[in-house]
Amino acid sequence: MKRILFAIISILFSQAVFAYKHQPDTSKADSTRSGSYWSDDLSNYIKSKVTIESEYFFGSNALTIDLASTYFMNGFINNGMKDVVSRKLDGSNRFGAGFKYEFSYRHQPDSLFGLSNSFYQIGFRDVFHLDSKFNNDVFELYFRGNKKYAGKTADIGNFEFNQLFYQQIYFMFGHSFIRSENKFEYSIGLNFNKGHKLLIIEATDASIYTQEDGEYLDLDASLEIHRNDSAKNEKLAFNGIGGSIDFNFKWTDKKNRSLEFKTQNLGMIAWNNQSAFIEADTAFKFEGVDISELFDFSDSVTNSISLDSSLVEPYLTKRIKKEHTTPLPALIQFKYSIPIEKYKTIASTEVGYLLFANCKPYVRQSFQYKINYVHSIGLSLSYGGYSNFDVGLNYELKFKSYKFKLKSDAITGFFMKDATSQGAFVSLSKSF
Amino acid sequence: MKGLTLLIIVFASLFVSCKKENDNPQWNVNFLGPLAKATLGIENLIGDSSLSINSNGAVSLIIDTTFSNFKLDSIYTIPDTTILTTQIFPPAPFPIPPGTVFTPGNSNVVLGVSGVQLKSANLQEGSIKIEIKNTLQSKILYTYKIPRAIKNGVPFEVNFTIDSASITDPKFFTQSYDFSGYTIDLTGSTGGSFNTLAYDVLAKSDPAGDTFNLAGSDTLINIKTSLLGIAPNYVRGYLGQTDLSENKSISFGFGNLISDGTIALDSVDMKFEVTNYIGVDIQAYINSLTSVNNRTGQTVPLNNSNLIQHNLNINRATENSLASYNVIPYVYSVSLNKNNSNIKQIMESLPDSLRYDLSFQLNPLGNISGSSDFIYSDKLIDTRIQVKMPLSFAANQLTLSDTIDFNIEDATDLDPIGPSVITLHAMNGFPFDMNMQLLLLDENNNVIDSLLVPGLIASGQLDINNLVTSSTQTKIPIPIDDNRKQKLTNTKRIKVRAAFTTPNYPQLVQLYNSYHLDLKFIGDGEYLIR
Repeated sequence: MKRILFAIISILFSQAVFAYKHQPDTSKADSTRSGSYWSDDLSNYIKSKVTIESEYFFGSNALTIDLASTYFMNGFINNGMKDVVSRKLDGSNRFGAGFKYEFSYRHQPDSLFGLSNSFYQIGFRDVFHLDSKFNNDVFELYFRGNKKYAGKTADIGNFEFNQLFYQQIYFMFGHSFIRSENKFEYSIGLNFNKGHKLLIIEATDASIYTQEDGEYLDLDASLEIHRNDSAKNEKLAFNGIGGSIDFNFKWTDKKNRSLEFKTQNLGMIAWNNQSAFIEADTAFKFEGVDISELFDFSDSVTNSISLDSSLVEPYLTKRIKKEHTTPLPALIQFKYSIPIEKYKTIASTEVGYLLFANCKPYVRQSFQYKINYVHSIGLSLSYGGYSNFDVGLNYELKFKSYKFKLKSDAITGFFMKDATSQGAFVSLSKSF
Repeated sequence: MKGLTLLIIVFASLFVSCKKENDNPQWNVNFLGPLAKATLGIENLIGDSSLSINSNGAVSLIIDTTFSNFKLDSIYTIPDTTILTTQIFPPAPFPIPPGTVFTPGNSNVVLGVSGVQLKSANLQEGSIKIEIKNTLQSKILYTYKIPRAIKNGVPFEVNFTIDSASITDPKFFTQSYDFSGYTIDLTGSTGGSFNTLAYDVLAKSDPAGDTFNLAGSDTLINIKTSLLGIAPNYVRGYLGQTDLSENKSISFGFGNLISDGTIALDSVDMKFEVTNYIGVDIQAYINSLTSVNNRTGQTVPLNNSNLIQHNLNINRATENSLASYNVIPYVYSVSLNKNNSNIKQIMESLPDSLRYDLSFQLNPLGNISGSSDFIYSDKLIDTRIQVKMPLSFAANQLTLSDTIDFNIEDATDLDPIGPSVITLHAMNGFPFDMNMQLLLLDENNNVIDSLLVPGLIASGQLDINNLVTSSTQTKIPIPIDDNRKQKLTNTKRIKVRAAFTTPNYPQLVQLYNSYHLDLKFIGDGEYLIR
């Protein structure tokens, strides 16, 4: 019965539901990184450091933290939550979410490859990323059903849903040098990527018409679905391999003004030839499951009623297994910082863009106030990305050989349930 | 080490801090859409194989019933037959030189059939078993031959040897041979008998052996021949005057579909046919043909003086050539209608079975064919009744019913359904009102709910000639609440009942094959996604 009633409504999004069902319990993440590979560490006399860090992020122009957290926590989404989102929908909508954790070890020998002031770093990351773009009708249809579209066509085209679950082992080399009182720092990282789970749904052109009395539904869709080998979903499954690079360059002048360019995770994963590819480009009219046999009085053979309609199966007729390569969400960022000595503050202006992830460019203005050697706090204001306007706070604590950092670029979601973004980054490191 | 422990504690607490409420997120949606559909034509109500469509689309119902299929064994059977062949030496001792031939002369096996005098047979199945006992002090060479049993132009012949033996140490030989596919002449060694198979046995002492002595009364030949499982697919001869009779009931009519109501028919035509595939004359006698409505208990005997309690002389079938399997049957036919019989009354009684009492006598005039009767095992006598009933009728609460197994495999499937209404949209293009019921039955077949209340589906729009000009839409809401969901969960079967009433009964309406009823079940309600 469930399929009969809801299959049309969820034909595009059932795969997404499946994906959510199978994500780890604590999966809240984004691959945008708030930490910098360059910090004041390199300028100290620290030889080695181990770091453990974790980060999650959710952002949208319309989906609220209230709805998203209820969804991710498998709670009940009530009409009030939907109403708030409906008011925020603006035609072309987006959301992104992510979760990652990372372990790393950094060492700065006296010289590396004949270069002083150099370091290398090795680490492991587990990354979950989710993003989507969707129009208003997708949300309304998915969360409210098709009844309000009686006699109307719901436009569910221009839809994209991407879900990636992968692990990385990386190696990074960094070096700094001084020329004419200007300090130059750069680092290059190579990531080996293991693809774990993939789900991509793209509907370039899709609509559902609900006949006024509900006598039929017309689905017209051009749809593509890619997913990983469904037989291998365990954590160690090797469903794809790939590589990506990180690059960072920072120039600091003698007045401690700095300009930094950063690109992170520019690369791809090639999913193996057992990956599923499903395609549909057709019109499909659903008029109900044919139960004519039920009324066939002439049939002496005992009939039985099957409530399982083969609704979705015949529509998605093209199902093959083939390789598929997906680019990874990659961050490009420019950052300009100036010290304001009088207030022991560094002011930074940052613009960035997360490629291949249905994200808009963002701009962020931040201020980092150093209370003393042990404590520092920061404030950021940003616009763009998955959400619109965000406020961020951070706190940093140095205690003996430990460094603790707690940061959020989108803190309003912690206090306002109608906010549309929330994120947190926490790291703890120990130097040797 | 303390530092590492601290790191682990901090992050472990972050990972386990989120506990989920359910297995999946949940929310309600309001759905509106089709759940199920059905398009019903006449064929769904009656069965397409039973319909005949005229050029103008008018539909007639055909009821074609074959009965009284006699089996071959009711005419004759060939039991397993065994015969012993011996030759006793004269009562005086005598030396037997090597290569001496013994022969018992022509021998016959008489088949144990009765009532028929078979001259020849083509065997579909069967075997011949030969058992020999030797007490002679020499190896004996045997040739066993049935010259008039031919397969592919070659007579049946087998050769075998049995070792030297003695009275105290006899030697035995036993072997079975496939006899299927042989054409056997059953006129015996003289050609003037019947049911008799002739065979020859030739025995010879070992030509390379030694002379041996026979004592008086020694047995030279001791052979047992058995014909086992002999089943011809064709026989010829005189098939006797067997009397075949039957008094049985068979399923008949459409009364088993109808659980209530009455019907008035315009006309009924019936054809009674006996098809004789046997090469014998037959005299048939139908003592009675009686329709039975087991629901009402009503029985109606068929009245027609040309058919009932009247000797029907049915000529023999012919064949193009002997055993050609190309039979030209003789068909005896009697036509009945409402003017020369009460067949209309019979069909209006809505019978579900037919009781018949009839007999067939073979060769009522004796052996007038010169023993040229024939019979093929798979072509005997077919008795058939064909009723043609134009579906021009009047119905008053004529009720069809059927019961369908129903099982909700997982009752929790119904849990997500909130307050809802399933509406039956019926577009009726038939010229009758239909009172449809979907009754939910529990495991003891007790009715626990009725889904369609009221269940009246209005007739299509009729013109002055009672022809449907357009379909009529009827909407019947079926509210779904917790109580009904519980009943659906307990439902094991659904009884579908449809009662038809034509307008202005008993005014007749004609059904056309273009008439149909479209049913759609539309869901409108709340559903919990989970």
